[in-house]
Amino acid sequence: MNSEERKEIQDLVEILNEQNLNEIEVQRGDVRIRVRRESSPTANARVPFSAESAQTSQPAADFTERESSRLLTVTSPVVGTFYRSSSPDVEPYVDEGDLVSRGQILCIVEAMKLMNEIESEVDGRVVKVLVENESGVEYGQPLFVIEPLP
Amino acid sequence: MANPVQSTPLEAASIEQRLTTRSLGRPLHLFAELASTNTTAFMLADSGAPHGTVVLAETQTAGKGRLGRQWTSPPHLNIYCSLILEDPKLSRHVSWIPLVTGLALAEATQCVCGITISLKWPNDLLYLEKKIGGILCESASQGSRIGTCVVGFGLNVNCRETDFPEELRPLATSYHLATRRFHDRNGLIADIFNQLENWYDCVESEQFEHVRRSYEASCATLGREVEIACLTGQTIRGTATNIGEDGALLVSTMQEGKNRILEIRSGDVKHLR
Repeated sequence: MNSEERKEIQDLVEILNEQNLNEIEVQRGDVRIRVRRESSPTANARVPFSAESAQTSQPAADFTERESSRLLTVTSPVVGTFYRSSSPDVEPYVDEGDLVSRGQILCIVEAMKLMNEIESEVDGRVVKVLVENESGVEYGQPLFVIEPLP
Repeated sequence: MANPVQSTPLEAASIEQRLTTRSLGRPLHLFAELASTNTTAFMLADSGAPHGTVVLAETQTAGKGRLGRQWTSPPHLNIYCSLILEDPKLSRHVSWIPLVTGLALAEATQCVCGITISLKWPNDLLYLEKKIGGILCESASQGSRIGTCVVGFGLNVNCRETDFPEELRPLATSYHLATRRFHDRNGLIADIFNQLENWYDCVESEQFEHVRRSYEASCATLGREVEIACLTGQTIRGTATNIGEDGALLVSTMQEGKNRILEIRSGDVKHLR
């Protein structure tokens, strides 16, 4: 994702929030961007808190049909805390630019001490790590962008 | 059943005889030694083991806790056990699993051994503020669906003080140390699964109000002043008030002169008062 595309997505997220919409889709030529808010099953008015910072609900972004490649966004299946490694003193599971295979562990999201390992659904390359280690994540929040490889 | 005069061996048939469950503990695999019951449970799940499969070991050579911590596993004395959950309806509400597992372990302990375990949010098992058991729930997901969930637990049943490494002695205790008796592990394991299946049924059928109230009634953290240590080194102090809709701990705290209710889902909780 280049900075221009990133800015465009951020703008869409802002519009989504300002207008309190659930979904926006924009298509220009062969590039289509859809930004969708996935409501948490446990969403309520209270403040979610985790190790790094309190965060408000963020929309999930789906990327589809971008030129010849198709980027996949890996989202969090639970509300919890995001860890890039299995313990604080070891290397992260993956870094940006790494090649990953289907089933390879990308990260852990912890909720109530349940450690949920999130695996890659595809063989591909990690384009972007979207969340800081040990920060709080919402249900459906994007964590990684993966470029599937044949 | 009379208490044994020493720690008697685990016997699959003795456990199975006392199970009243539909699926938990069916089948049940008992090993003399494993690296980690959770690791073996994941391997069995990968090769198609059904929902409810249980893995037990008399000892573990690489027993594990959260975040790479070790779990001390002396042989023939304690319970080292993992359970495979492969139920999409249950895994939709996965955040409740650690809490109701703690609840079932505490209930079975009370019922079979007459020991009142104190439950520190979310699933620490304490006796007089010392660790008497631990739970490690791990799951794997691809996409937004949680697949296999493995619920592991270790209970310090019949170990004596000398069975713990020296550095753990001030922090850990056992059913034997609490009562000066040895306990029948087979009966305890069967009752744990009988209780667990009831609680998982409640979660699966979304009886969250019942689950929440029952957990609140057993949780020693509520009403206490607590300090929560986050991995970043940050700490939060406040009063634990309630349990949230997904099992989060609600903590009332002052921030910038205002009272706020925080939802806590991770970090180590310490009871202050």
